[in-house]
Amino acid sequence: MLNVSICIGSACHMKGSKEVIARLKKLIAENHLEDKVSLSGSFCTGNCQHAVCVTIGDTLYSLSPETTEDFFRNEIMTRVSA
Amino acid sequence: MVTNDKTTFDITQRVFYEVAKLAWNGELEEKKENLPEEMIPGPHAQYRCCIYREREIIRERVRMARGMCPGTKDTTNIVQVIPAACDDCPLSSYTVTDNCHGCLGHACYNSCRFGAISFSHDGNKNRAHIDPAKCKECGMCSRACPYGAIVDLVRPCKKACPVGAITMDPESGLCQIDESKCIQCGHCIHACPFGAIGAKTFIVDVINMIRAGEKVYAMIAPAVEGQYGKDITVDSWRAALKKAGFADLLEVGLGGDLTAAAEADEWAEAMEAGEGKTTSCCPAFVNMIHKHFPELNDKISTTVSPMCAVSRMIKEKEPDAITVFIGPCQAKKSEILDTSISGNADYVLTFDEAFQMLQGKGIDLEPVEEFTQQASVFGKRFGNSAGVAGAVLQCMKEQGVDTSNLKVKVANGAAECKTALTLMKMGRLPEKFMEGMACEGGCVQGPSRQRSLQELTKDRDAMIGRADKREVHENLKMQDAEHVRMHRGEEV
Repeated sequence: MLNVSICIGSACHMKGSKEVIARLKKLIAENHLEDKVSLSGSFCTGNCQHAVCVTIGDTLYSLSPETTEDFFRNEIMTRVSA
Repeated sequence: MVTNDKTTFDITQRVFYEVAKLAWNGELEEKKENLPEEMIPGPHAQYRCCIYREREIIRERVRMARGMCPGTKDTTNIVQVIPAACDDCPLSSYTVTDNCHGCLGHACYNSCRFGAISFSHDGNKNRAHIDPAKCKECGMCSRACPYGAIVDLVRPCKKACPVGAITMDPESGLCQIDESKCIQCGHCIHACPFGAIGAKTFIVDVINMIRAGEKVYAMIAPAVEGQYGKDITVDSWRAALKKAGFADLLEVGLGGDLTAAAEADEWAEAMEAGEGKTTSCCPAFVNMIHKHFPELNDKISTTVSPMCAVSRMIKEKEPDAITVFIGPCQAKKSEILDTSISGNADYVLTFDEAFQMLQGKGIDLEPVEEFTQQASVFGKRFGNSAGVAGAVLQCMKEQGVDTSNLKVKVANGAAECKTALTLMKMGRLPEKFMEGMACEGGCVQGPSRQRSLQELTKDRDAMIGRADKREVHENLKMQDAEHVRMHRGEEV
């Protein structure tokens, strides 16, 4: 299971973390990846300048609602289809 | 209320207060590094070996108040150990004390079935010794000794943990939390006499949202009534929170009404099908099933928690509203990290965190004249053990469902939950339905309780007694809350 966590702290919230979560949920459902990818919220990790902060393992990614689909294709799909 | 952690609790409160004060003034980033020195000016240590260790612990507490892990690690658990504060208390649990008279009876030796007890000639008597490698911690020797000379030194944190999630780092001896087992109940936090366990908070996030001009709604748990004495009511909290910049405060007892009504429909359906269900409102209980009894996952009611119900109700009217739950619970913080539940609260604060957040802005909780009622007495009782089952049964009766054959197991506290779930898993629980609450006494005795059950019950009963006797469905109509989407999978 690939765990993707999205910061729900105030800085990330204001930059659209709820929208990022909604888009990722939709993409996961559309691609039938519910058994391979799990999403969870996380507390602020202090990287607010990179908001919206999304982490896979130890790697931090900086997203916005608009870049969510690219992130899904480049970082999630490549990992689960391997 | 006598607690294990009075001194460290006061320090943690002060940290919340100082962090909140700086956050309200927009000075947290700039001044947070000064807090350890300000709080521990020295030159002499007050509690620990030296001021440097005391300051390090403050630094870690400040990180947690800001929602971060202590130290350099970064894990998702809400409950965290502060390594610098852990006293690495003795590892072996059963220990022979100086009370051992070196008697000839050897009841300890005779009671031990594992050959762990031996004797050595110590001065002028034969003293008993326990070999920790052989001891299975059954406690037979301790009960057998006529002098009570054998004591159980199990670490208080380990003793408090209902799911065996507390382990030790084999090298340092420091306490560790096995996050694959932890259900975030928070029972260990106040059990540690050294204050070495704490929880991450959303204090700064909530303050930032208000400062940014967002419309922030507070939602207060039904467990609040009686916690702060007879004069501090839900309306007192509403007045104080509005002063701090919240748009309004809603009673989560109303969510209790919503959850009870939805769960009643689910239970009636299950009863017809000959199936069983468990309640779903206690997040530590739900975490316990997910992590320790996954085969029972489909027994959990799919109704959302009262917190989520009120949050959805607010967001359906105002999609951009920010919702903040204030309650006695740590595990609620884990519920909002579950992204599969849409429309849930954006942030969760404990009573202590919310109180200090207000104090940081110079706001006190004060008695007020107004009396507002948004929940039925059944919803208000959600915070007590047996209250959820009581409200669900009330709703079934209101709908004309015959409940005379419906048997409910009320599991009061994590230990009872574990026993009942074990029986349910084996198909041997006599009752088909179950209410589970991880805190003994219910939410009113959650980790952020202000008073013991005995201390608060009289004031709580008096406060709930002021509410009229409206029924659950009647209240939902009065509050215009009949169309809230109440199931976990539904998108809001």
